[in-house]
Amino acid sequence: MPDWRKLVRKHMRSLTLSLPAKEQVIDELSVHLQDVYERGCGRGLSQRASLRLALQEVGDWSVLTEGIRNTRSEDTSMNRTRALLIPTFVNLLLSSALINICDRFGMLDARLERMAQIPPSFQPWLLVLPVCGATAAFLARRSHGSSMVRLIAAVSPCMAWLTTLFVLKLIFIGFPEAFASVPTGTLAAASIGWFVLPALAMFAGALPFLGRTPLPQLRVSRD
Amino acid sequence: MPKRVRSNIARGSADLAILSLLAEKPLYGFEIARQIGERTGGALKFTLASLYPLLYEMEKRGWVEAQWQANAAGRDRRYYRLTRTGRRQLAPLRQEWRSFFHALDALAGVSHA
Repeated sequence: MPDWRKLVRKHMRSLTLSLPAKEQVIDELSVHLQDVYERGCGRGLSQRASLRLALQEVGDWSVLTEGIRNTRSEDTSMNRTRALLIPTFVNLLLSSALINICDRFGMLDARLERMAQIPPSFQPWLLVLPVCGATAAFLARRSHGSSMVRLIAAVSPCMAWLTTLFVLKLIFIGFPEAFASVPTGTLAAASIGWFVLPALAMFAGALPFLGRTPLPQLRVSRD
Repeated sequence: MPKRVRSNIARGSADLAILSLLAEKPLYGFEIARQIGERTGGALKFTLASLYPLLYEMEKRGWVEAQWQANAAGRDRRYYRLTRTGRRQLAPLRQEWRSFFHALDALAGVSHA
């Protein structure tokens, strides 16, 4: 069977919508073409003829793209907010709160020097990060965010922490005397501790929500 | 016939066709196109290029609302449901087309038997 999503995505390259909105359009058009194709096969047409039939149903790809761009463009900011920004914000808030809680109870030493020395797997907050990733991915999926959007929402706090590290590094470069107190390799090790491992933990939590699972809120009969 | 008039007629008939179908029950894009094709004996045919921009515009206007749901086969499809606003559009649209056909009938005798 043809990869309809790939085909639609290829033809919709010039569709300038937010990522969630565009993914939703691609999903919808893909399943439509798949239905046409399967109906053709079900009527005894060859796969090649069914494929041709499905492509005929499209009409003009450029007209389709232009028409969708004109009608969906105003939805962009709302979709982005619901599918990406809100889950990202919740994730950042939740994971930051958990880090602070761990820190308050002495379970986390957030100093860069110590981050390089303490194996990150011993950091208890790593164990709760999958919950944060899962929460973000769940919220993004509920707002029809694509798999990519869900993944970004799930690991977004790590990106923020990595950015913070880079900013710190720039500050250290600007103030060599401050950098002198940080052992060599600390930043690299801290990058692993603050980005790679947390990202993996959040990704693990998000995994069950990254696939295209059905949303059976309501079953509607065809007949 | 000037192109603009022709496209307005096509657009108006498409609106009426879709809203009338959705007034019966929620449907997804493929089913809307299939049912319009079958119930008009193939006289009206929607391509994706003509159907989806129209559906999205109706959604933007609040005439229909869409939701991903599993169909009878357990597959996710984006179902369109007529809203109260959409339902309010339907009666005047029907009346408009009725008047249009009456006018054409009076002029050119085009009503069906």
